[in-house]
Amino acid sequence: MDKRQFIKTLFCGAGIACLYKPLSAIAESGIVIPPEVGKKWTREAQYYIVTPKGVRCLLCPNECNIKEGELGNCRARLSKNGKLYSISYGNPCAVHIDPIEKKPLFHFYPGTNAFSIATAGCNLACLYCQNWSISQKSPRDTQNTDLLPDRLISYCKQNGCKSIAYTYSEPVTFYEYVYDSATLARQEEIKNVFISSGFVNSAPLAKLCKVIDAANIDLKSFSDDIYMRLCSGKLQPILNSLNLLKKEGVWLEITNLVVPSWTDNMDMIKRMCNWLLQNGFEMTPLHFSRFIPTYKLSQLPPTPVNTLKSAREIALKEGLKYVYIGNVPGLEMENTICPECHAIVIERQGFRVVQNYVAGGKCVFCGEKIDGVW
Amino acid sequence: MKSVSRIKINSFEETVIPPKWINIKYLLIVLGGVAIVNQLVFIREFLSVLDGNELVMGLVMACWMILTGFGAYVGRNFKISGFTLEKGLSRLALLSFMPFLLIAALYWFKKTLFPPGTIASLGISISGIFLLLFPVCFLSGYLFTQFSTCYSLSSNDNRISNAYRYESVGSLIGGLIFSFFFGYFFNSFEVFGLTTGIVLILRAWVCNRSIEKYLFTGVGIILPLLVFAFNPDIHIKKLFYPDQEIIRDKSTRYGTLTVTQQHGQLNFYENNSLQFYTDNIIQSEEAVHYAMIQHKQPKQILLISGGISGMIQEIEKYQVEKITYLEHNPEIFHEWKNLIHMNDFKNVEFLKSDIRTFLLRSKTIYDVILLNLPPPNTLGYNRFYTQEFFSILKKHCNHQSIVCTSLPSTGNYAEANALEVNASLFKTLNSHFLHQLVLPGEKNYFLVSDDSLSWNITELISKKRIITNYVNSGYIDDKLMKERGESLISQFDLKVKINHDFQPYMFLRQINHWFNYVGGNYILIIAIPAIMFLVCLFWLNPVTTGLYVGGFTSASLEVALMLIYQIYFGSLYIASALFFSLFMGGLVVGSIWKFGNKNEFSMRQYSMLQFALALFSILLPGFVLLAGKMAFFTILQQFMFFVPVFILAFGIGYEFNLASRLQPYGYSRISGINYSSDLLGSAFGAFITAVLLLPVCGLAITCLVVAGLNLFSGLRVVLKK
Repeated sequence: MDKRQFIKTLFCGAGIACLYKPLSAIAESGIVIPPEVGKKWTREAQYYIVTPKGVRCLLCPNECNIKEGELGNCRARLSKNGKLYSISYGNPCAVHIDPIEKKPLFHFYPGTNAFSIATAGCNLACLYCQNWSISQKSPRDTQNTDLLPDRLISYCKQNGCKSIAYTYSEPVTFYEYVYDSATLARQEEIKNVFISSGFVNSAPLAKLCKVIDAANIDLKSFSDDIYMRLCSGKLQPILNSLNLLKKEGVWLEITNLVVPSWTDNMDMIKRMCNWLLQNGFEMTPLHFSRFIPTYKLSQLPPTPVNTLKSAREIALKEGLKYVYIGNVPGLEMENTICPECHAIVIERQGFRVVQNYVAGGKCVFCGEKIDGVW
Repeated sequence: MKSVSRIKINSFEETVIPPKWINIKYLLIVLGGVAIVNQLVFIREFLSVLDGNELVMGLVMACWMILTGFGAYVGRNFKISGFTLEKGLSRLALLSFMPFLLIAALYWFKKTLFPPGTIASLGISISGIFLLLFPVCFLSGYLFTQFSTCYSLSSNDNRISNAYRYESVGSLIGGLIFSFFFGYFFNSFEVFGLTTGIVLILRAWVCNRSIEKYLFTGVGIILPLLVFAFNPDIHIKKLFYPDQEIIRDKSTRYGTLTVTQQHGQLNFYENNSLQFYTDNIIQSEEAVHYAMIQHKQPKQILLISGGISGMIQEIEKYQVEKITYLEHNPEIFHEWKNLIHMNDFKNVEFLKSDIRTFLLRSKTIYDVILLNLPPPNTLGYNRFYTQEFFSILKKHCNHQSIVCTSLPSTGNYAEANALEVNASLFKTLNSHFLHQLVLPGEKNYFLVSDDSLSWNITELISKKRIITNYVNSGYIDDKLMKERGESLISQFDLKVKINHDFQPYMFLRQINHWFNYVGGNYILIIAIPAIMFLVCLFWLNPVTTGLYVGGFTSASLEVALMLIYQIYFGSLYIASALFFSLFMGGLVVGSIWKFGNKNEFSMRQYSMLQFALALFSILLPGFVLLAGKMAFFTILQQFMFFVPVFILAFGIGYEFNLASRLQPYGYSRISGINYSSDLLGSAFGAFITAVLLLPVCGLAITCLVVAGLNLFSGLRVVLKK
């Protein structure tokens, strides 16, 4: 090696050494080492078949063909040794207590608290997801709590919660956990509340309906094209889910998030309300919710209040009886009005029930039945 | 018969040169002017359309320089025969007209590829930046090589450095006109209309034939008039604001301010990024009442940003004596007042001052300080979340004072990077205040004070009979709020770093968090350019390496100086024009300066220059620290920033001059290689410094790295001798 080569090599080494500090700083920061997904949080999935292409999940309309060792689109189902497993069983990453009105459920045990849980994963990809940090991740990526069904019920009772809410992300993706927990909860007279997009196949939903008591389904839009572009979903399966839940006698409330430039078209809202009426959802509470900029729709302004008011007027005109506006404090459109005498039967201030004039499921003023679970 | 001269430099450069080419230096000046105006407007537009943080800015600048360098490199092989002044000006007219189509294409692509209100993904952003910048940058670089070669041939001498000088003069003039005139009064399309009109009129001026003269003059006058009459900018911008009525769109010193109306709601955008909106009940109540209710009798309030979203009305529920109000962009407040036609708030004093500068000069003690600023997703905003900033803020507090700042909500689950951002803020605040609460709401609100704080917000609200729509027991359960807050705090890893001005830890974590939205991997984004930089470093010959490292040095240290300036003085908008002008001025002077014997250009001089740049880099952090201590001598302090800019540019200009003499090639090849390597080095310098060196390593290490590179290139020259 001559002098020139020696010096060149020396400087190459010095150059690499200079990079050490920045690269090690990068290596130390920003890389999350996923926690080990233990076997205790894994259960064989209930709805799948084995095909020559691998396993095929039958839980939701995506019906993913999942190759060996890979996850489905929801990131919560794993194909292993020719079987499909749920890796989100008993390992919620979000555990909170919320008022039931926050789900929103206004006609289901108002004034009570719901023990709310969610695991990571979702079978949709909504651009405005408020819980994207868990819905667009896998349980492998999140810090999880050990909360198998028996422990979940125990915590719920300790905290005096009337119900367990399977919420935040998409409970369809932790179906087995929901089912087993709900079954156990029922034995302890704890109610089960399913907050979902409704993007699920009929067979699993029908089975789940046997163990859940109430549901809030997000009817995100009344256009298949918008469903695809906004959420990577489809409209028809949601409509099927709504019909099935009603048929099975699960208490149902519907939420429609009014997103400017996406789902705020009044003609579409009118068609949606018309469909609801035609299909027997006249007495199903409908919540128009204000969009707040978040996730990938952070550059869109929030829904103008007047837009929400217009949507509500259309819904009432079409014949729906219980129509609310959410995420707009001080508007006083969160009170329950008797469809007959138009008196305020439940007066709310935010999530708090101030006055309740529903007795035995009826309006105390005129005796009209007020639909709900009281 | 015209006299001609035949000059043969190499087989590529044999040509016939008519005497009119003596005016080619004016082409270089016009090229410099047009190119810099294009660059400034494109950067502004890209930052508006894409998410305007330092990563995006670094990408845009890097792509600009790489593509221009590529054009210059390709231009080294062009055939000169047939080139005339008229053709040169026609090409310049094309260069000034192309941006019309490209900017329109930028907005159209954004609207088509990304749904309304969404952020562009990183991969497509990078592809889009390259695709859209390619025509104008390539042509820019190509024309420089072409003109500088012709300029050298016209005098039968190597005049590449002179060409560089004229081009720099043009950039200086164009930059000043844009920064102090065009940028203030005209939108992007109007600016392009004016530059195209000017170039077309120049084109008409050199025409020999009358019909062409009239044609070019006519188009040169009519085109800008049409642009002003039809205002394509507003029509293009409507693509961005579907279903919204644009009621105000103006250039301010902080960027473009657009106000839209939708069903009675007003939305305020800065550079197409949503800042505030009216009817923001939840956030305006939370941002005010969580803090105000903690103080027994708040009288003096300092409100930093957010007043127009409803915070002022909420503060006034407490019968305060005075609200001192500052906005990070004061134009937002003025537009809001004009639009809602409200009378002046009697007890609100609105100050049009940089926030940190105001806090340094003022001595007022405040009962409550409310900070409602954007999150630290740029280095500019990071300075409001640092140890140094809270140290300044603390001087305006007494024992009972309450300070409230906030970060975007972590929702029901705190993602790892977001958690670190919050933890760093928590730790940074803890170092100044005795008590701290974190209240998770629509945002995460950090309340600090030396006095005790209470979680029982709604209980206090009720006791004081403050009327609120949201912050009350109807929506908030104090017990659940406390549980959520304490749960969030328990997740903070207090081994995180405190956030500093010159070690912007929160900014770095926020950028990593941002990748969740746009896709991409921070390490990959950094590693690829870093590796490419190193490969080029070892591949080039010693003289070219010097230029390459010089380009890196100039961009890197200029980015560093601009960041530091921003930390001390706030808005860079006006100062950037001065930075730029001084830099161009330094380049011009350096490119004509001669030390010693004016005919002697030696490798020794070249290597000594690079060692001098290394020394300059090592001394810079000390210089900056010294400037920081002169906080009360603002003019002197500012002067201390501009001097190093000039010295740095002088060194780079002189280096280019030397390198042009020392390269053993023909004129076109010298021009192409030198200009492209300088630009390539600058591209890497701007990007790697803004995205890796400064955020991760801080200022001192950045300067050491730059010094090391100059030492390396200097030693290469010494060894080659």
